Amino acid sequence: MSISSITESTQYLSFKLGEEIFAVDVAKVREILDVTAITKVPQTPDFMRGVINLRGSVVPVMDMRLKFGMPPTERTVNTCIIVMEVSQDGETMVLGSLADSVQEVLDLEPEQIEAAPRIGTRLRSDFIKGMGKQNERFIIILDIDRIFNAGELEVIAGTMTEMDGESDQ
Amino acid sequence: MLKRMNIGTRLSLGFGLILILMIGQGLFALNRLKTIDDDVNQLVHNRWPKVLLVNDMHKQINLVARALRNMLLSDDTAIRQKEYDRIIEAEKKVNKDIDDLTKVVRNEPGLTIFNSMVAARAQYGEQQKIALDLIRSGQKEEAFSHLLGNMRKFQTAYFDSVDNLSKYQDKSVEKLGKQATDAYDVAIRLIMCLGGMGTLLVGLVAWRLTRSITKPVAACVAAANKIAAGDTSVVLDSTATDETGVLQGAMGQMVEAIKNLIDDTTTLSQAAVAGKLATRANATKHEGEFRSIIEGFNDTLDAVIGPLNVAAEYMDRISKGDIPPKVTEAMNGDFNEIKINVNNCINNINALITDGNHLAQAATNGNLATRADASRHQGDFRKIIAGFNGTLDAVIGPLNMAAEYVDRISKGDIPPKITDAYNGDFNEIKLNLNNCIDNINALVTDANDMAVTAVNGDLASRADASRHLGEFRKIVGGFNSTLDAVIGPLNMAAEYVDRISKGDIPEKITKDYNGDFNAIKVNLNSCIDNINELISDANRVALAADEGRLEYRADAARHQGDFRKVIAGLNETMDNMVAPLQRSIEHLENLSLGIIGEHISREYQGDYNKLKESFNRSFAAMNSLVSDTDYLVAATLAGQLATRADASRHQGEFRKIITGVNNTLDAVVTPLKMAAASVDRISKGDIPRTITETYHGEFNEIKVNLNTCFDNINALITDVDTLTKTAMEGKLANRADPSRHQGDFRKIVMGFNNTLDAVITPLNMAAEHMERIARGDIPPQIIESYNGDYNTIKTSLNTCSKAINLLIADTDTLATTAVEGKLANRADPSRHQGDFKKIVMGFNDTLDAVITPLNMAATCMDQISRGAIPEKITALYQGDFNDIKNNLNTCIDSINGLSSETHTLVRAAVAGNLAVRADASRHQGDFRNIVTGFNNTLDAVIVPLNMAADYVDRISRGDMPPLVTDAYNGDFNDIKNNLNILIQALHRITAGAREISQGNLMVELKERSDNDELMKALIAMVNQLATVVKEVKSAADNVAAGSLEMSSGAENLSQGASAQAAAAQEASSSMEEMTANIRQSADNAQQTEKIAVKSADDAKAGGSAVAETVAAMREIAGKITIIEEIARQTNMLALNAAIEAARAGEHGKGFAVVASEVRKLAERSQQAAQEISGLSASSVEVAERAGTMLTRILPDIQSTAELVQEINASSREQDSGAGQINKAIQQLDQVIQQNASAAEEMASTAEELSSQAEQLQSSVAFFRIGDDMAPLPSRGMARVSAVTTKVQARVSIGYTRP
Repeated sequence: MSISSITESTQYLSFKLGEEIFAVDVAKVREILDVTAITKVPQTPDFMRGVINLRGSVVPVMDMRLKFGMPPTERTVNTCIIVMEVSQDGETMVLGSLADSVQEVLDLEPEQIEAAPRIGTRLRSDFIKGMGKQNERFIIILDIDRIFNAGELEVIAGTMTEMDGESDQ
Repeated sequence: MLKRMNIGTRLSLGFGLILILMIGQGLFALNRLKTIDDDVNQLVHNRWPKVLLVNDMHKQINLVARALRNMLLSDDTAIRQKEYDRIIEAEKKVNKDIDDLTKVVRNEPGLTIFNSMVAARAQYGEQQKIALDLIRSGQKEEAFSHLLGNMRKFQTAYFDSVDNLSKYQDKSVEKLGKQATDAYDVAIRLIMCLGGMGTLLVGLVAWRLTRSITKPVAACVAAANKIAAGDTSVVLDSTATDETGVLQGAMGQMVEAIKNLIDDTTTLSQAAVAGKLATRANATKHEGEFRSIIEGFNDTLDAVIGPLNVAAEYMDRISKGDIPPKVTEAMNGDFNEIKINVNNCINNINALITDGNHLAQAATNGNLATRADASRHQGDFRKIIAGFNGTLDAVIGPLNMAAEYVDRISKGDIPPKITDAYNGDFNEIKLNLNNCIDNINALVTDANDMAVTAVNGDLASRADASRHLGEFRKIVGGFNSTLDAVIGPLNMAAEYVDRISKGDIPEKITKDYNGDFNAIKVNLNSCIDNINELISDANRVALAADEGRLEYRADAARHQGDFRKVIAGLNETMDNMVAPLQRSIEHLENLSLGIIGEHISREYQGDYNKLKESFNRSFAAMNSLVSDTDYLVAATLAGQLATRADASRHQGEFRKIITGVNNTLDAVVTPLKMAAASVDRISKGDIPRTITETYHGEFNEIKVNLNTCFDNINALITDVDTLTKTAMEGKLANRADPSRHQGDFRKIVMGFNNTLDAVITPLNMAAEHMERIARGDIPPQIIESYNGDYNTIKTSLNTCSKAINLLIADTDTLATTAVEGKLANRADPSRHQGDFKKIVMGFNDTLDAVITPLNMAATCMDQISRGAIPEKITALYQGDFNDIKNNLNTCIDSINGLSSETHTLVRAAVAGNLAVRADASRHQGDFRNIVTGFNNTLDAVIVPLNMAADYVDRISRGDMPPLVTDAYNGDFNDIKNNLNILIQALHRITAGAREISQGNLMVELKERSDNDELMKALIAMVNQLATVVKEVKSAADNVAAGSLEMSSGAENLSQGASAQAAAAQEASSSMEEMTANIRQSADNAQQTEKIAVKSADDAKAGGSAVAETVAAMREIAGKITIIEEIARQTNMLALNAAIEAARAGEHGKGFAVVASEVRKLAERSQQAAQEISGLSASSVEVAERAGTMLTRILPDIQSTAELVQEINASSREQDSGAGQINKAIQQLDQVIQQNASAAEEMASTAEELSSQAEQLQSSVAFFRIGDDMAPLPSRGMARVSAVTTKVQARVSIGYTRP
């Protein structure tokens, strides 16, 4: 997706990872949760911290910081889980992502969003929708659907089905 | 209409109807069945054979056809033959069938079809024949074509016609079957219809029939139930003529019979309740068992009422006082009880009457002690008898008392006054008796008084005759005149003796006296003579003494007298008197042995004892009677009238019947029981109250009789009570009115009245007699004859009046003899008894008392007159007798005194006691003259002697008389000279002594002789005095000097004391200042201590407050964390809300704004909470630090407080020490002041000493001892006083200090 696709005022949920402020399209966000007990699932990638029980259904929790090459998330009172809906090849998957703190829901006009910087092809920057500006601060707007590649999601989904199967039993 | 038929007819009619209906229905059904049967028959016998035939034909045709085919096909001739035979056979059968059909088919269409079939067969037969022929001929081809050609055509037609026939037959069978089915349906419907209608009709009829029977039967059952339940108000409709009608009629009759029975029982019950005991039910009105019930009822009533009437009649008779004989008829159960009660009643009333009569008889016979035995009676009867007895007691008690009193009075034993309260006539009797007793007592008292006063010698006292009445007054008058006659001369004699004893010798008695009195007079006169002679003798002695003739003596031998004769005469009289007195005493003793009375106690003797014994016997008899009665009463307790039918087992009217019967029994038995109880109570004497319950008829009569009986018995009781009460009240005239009573009751009352009359007449007579005696009017003897106790009373009264008359006669005799001077005369007491004897004896004693001293006085006077002075009368006399005795004694004393005085004087003169004189003042009259004469004689001798003695006495007392200048003679002159020498010598000694007394110790004294001890002593005394004075003078000088020294010492002491006092004052004031300072600091220390303690407490409180603050802060911090958490949660919620709003798109826009605002707020509150949290954390830190600091300060403060407390304690100790020092200084001050005052005292003592020494010096200076020692100058004194003044001034300065 390119910046050109952002043509109208969209609402974003901003959150912090470390000192940086990120934002995702609110439409992708389902809800925000306090960090509850996260059950670690073996044989899963590092960035997958485990699963939580969201009203009966198993939701995998990712650590975005690990994904973004940052140190693992330290748990504070402000740490929370952003439950999002990720679309991959037409399938929607619910997963949670740890954030150091959730900031706010904000409106960003198209003129407030710059294109993501081109850093070369080797590095993936396609999951960045653009850079939002607000009060002279940059907000990294993420394309949540692209953060995880298909393999990763399959692993997650596989884990999930196993988990579901287990939970069904 | 139905009602008029009997049940049989009705039932047969009903059943007949049902039968007809059933037959009709059956016939109809049969008819229908016939139709169906016909149809079936036709079907079976007509149609079905036809069908069978047709079918057979069909079969045969087929068989023929097959056989033809077989023949055609087969080449074997045998087979052909065989087939051919089969065809023939089949043909035959077909023919037969056709024949049969021909016979059967009748109707047109059938025939037509049949004929056509026959025709077709005929054609087919021909063809067949041809075919057969062909076959048989072996012309198979032809036969074949024939069969397939011509024959086939005809065969088909034949088949069709057979089929038609068959179809027709089928159709006709079917038609017939249908027809039969229809017939069956119709028949079923009709039968059902008929059956329903028949059932309906039968039901209707059965219902009517049943109803016509059951309704009256049910009515009967209901009626029977009602009757069974006791409700006879049953109305039955008996118009029906059938059996129910009859049943109802019978039921009605039964009800009627029961009603009649109930009516009769009710009537009887009501009649019984109404008391109409004669009422009986008419048994003939009832039949069978009812009659037996009624008869039983009547019999019961008869059985109950018979005894009731008997009881009523008895009660009536008893109430009218007509005591009937005992009931002797045998009765059972309660009736027996009633009988026994009635008999008891009769017995008791008879016993009452018997007792009343017995009492009346006993009272008439005077056996007043006789009483009815109340214990033999019960209840009110006992009350009657007790009342009767009470009345008798009330009447006889006083009567006996009066009789006893009269008896005692007649025997002279005056009883005490009656103090018991009596009423009415009894009171009169009592008053009369008391008056009588009073009068006799007054008489006795007067007699005693007179005797006592006479014995006491009080002869002037007389009994007051006016206090007595009638004969008593005469007795007292006689007494008084007797005394007057005796005492007149006695007084005269006493007066004379008195005058003689006083020395006033009277003139001789010239008055004439009689008898013994003359002897007294003569004696007195001789006494006077002798005394006169004594006086003259005394005068003579006095005269002789005056003249110095001391030897003169009087001749005592000239005095004589004549009184011995009187004494002898008196003695003789006494002897004469004593002999009869002793005789009379013997008589008295003899008589006294015969006195039965004087028993106040209820002991009875003689006849009374018999009475007592008879009482005991009667008690024993009564006890046996009582036990018998008790036995009877116990026997009456077994009765059976209480038996009743148990009404609770019955209901309604039956219960009424039973209750009626019970009521009747109750109605009969209750009055009966009441009557029985009443009779029982009456028989037990407990008269019940008037029966107020209303009874009817004969019960009323019984009630009235009972009430009359009660009334009569109550009237009897009332009368008895009234009589008893009036008798108790003493209203003896009261009588019961016998006319108010009837029959035996009247007898009782009359008996009672007679008893009272019999008792009261003698009582009144006795009372009258007592009254007359009390008034002193002694009545004549009672000559009427009385019985028993009355005779005793009469005898007592007669004895009484006789005794009093005798007393009067004796008094008269004594009075007469006394007036005549016959003093020896005495009344004979043996003729009297008891107190009368006492009166007479008192009288005699009085006379004795008067006459004995009289005689004694006469004897004395005789002796005196003869000069034989008798011994003093030592016998005790009283009153006037004492006067006489005293006078006589005085007389004797005077004469004795005179002689003893003479003796004394003589003895004194011999002993030289010349001053002794007879005391003339002790003597009176002429005796004094005698004594004075004596004294004068002595005086003449003793005056000079006395003068000498007086001088010597005066000298001995130091009173120097002047020299005797009178001229004396003889021995008297020597005495005078000696006296004068003595006086002069004494004067000289006196002068020397006076010199000494004036201080002249240098006086010259000379001894008058060697034996002049007086002068020697005087000289020694003067010398010694001089020595002493000298020594005293020197001592006084020494004292004066010492006092001066002492004075100076006191001054020194005083100076020191004042200095001490000043110093002590200073010390005290400075000490006070110090004490004040110390107290101030002590107070300050105390204040400080309080403040310190408070500070310590405050510090402690501050520490705890800080600790609390820290805790509170921590809590706040905790709470703020919660707020923070809430804010965070809110923030998250707001975010979620915003997300939701965003997801909602355009619709969530508004909400998104709100959520954003909420989130902002939450963020802010989170921030604020964080800030507060930080602040509170720092505050907690500060507070904790403050707490720590306070905790660190606290022990310091506390130790400070403790130190301050110690300071305070030591300050207080200092304070008290200073106070003690102050007190010590004050004590020191006091001591100093005491020293100062001691110094003052010492100074004043020195002054005193100085003045004393000076005084001593001046005193000693009085004596002149010849050494000319001048006294010390008085300067020492002046000095001493100056010092004293100084000291006092100092001391006073010391004292000025407060």
